[in-house]
Amino acid sequence: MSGSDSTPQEMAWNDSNESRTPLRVIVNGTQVHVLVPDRLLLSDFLRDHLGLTALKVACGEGACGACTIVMDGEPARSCTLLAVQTEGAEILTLEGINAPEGMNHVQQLFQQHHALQCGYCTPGWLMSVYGMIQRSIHPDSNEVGRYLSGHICRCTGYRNIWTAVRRALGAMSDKPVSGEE
Amino acid sequence: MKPAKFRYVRAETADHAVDVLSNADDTARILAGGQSLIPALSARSVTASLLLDIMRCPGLDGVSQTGGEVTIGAACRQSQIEHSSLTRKSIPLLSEALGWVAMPQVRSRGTVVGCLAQANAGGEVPVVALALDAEFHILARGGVRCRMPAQDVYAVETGTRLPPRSLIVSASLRARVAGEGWGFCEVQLRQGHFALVCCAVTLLLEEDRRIRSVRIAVGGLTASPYRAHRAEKALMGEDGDNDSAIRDAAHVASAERPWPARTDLHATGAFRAKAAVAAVARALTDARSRCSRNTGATDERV
Repeated sequence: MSGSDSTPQEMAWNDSNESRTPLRVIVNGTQVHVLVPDRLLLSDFLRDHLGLTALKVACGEGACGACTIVMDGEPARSCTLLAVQTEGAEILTLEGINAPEGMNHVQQLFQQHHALQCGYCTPGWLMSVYGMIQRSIHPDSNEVGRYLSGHICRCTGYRNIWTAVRRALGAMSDKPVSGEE
Repeated sequence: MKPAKFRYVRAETADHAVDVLSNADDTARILAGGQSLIPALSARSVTASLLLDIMRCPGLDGVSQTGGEVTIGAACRQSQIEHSSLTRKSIPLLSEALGWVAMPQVRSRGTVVGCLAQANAGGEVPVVALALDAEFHILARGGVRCRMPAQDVYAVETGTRLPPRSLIVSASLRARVAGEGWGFCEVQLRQGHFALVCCAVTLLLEEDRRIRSVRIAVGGLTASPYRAHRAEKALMGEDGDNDSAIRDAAHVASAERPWPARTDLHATGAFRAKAAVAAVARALTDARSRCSRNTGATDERV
């Protein structure tokens, strides 16, 4: 990553005729100043050029939630944003909220409640939970289901994830999931 | 897939955006939140020579109320409007409907005005715009400014009547008046999916519970949303607590669609027509339950 010098850092890109735009963005607390290709998706910028590979690219059209990051405090899809659209924003990826050692509180809850198997979708869920905690969403609010509907998990099943998420939002018990709104 | 090449320009002002748009080719596009446009570019179902990002133009990111009208700027994000205390109080119908637009992770970047311009057949926001007599503030070629009612914008079977190479700078919606009830009902395949059908209603009752005014807008059933004027007329003066009048009006609202019912992979036109009856009836009863008993007694307007 480059600092906030006045000249944006060049990025490796195989087509020198590609139209590019300077981008200043804070990623996980570090100021980045680069010249990015206009059509580069944020997900590819974060993974391929900044090496932040916790986020995954699955559907590539905003439906599955595996690429979820937090932009200016709110969870967002990094595959339906261009890198250049994040000018001036603060981006958080899972790498930015990891505990210095071991797992953070929400990761521990996911482990305790068996809320993951293959783990491919997990980084996305964790970023949404981060956003939900920022908004102090009540564990019994129907908002929980709305956030959860923004993620697809193909192996664990949603019950355990729902339980872990409710716990992360402060629920004291694992009450069974009732029908959603 | 990844988007094909295009040029990206951060517009400095709304006028700058329209200026550049006027001199670009036909595939140049305005970029707001991009939550529909970027996936379409990735799938290459849309190609663009130029994207004009308007999110940093001064004056486009505000929401304000003057008298009986709430104005929402083109750069206002859906999550911002959904949770704003002003919208919750003055246009609760929109806050409610925004809860049905995709998922929170998409609403954090998508814009309200973008939904209005996009006019997706399964979109919720244009339906609310019709129920709330919205007017679009449009900036067109050569700096020409005009106001266009939502009713005119959506008066075509597909697409919109927005002038080419123009920008919707903001949209104004009618604020809730004291005692007014509102209802929004949607039938969707799963949470976060587009509406198969949806209905937005506002309702005012007299002190004796007769219907003083009602607005019904239906979406999803046809490619463009419409106001159900015949159903509204049938309800005027009726007893608001008369459920069979509401049911009859719901049937009228579905039947008076100005265009054929939409059939696609998810539902047939016949199914949508039936679902619309249920959605209109539910939206009307929800609106009734929110009408305050002391209509007109206090003015809660800000």
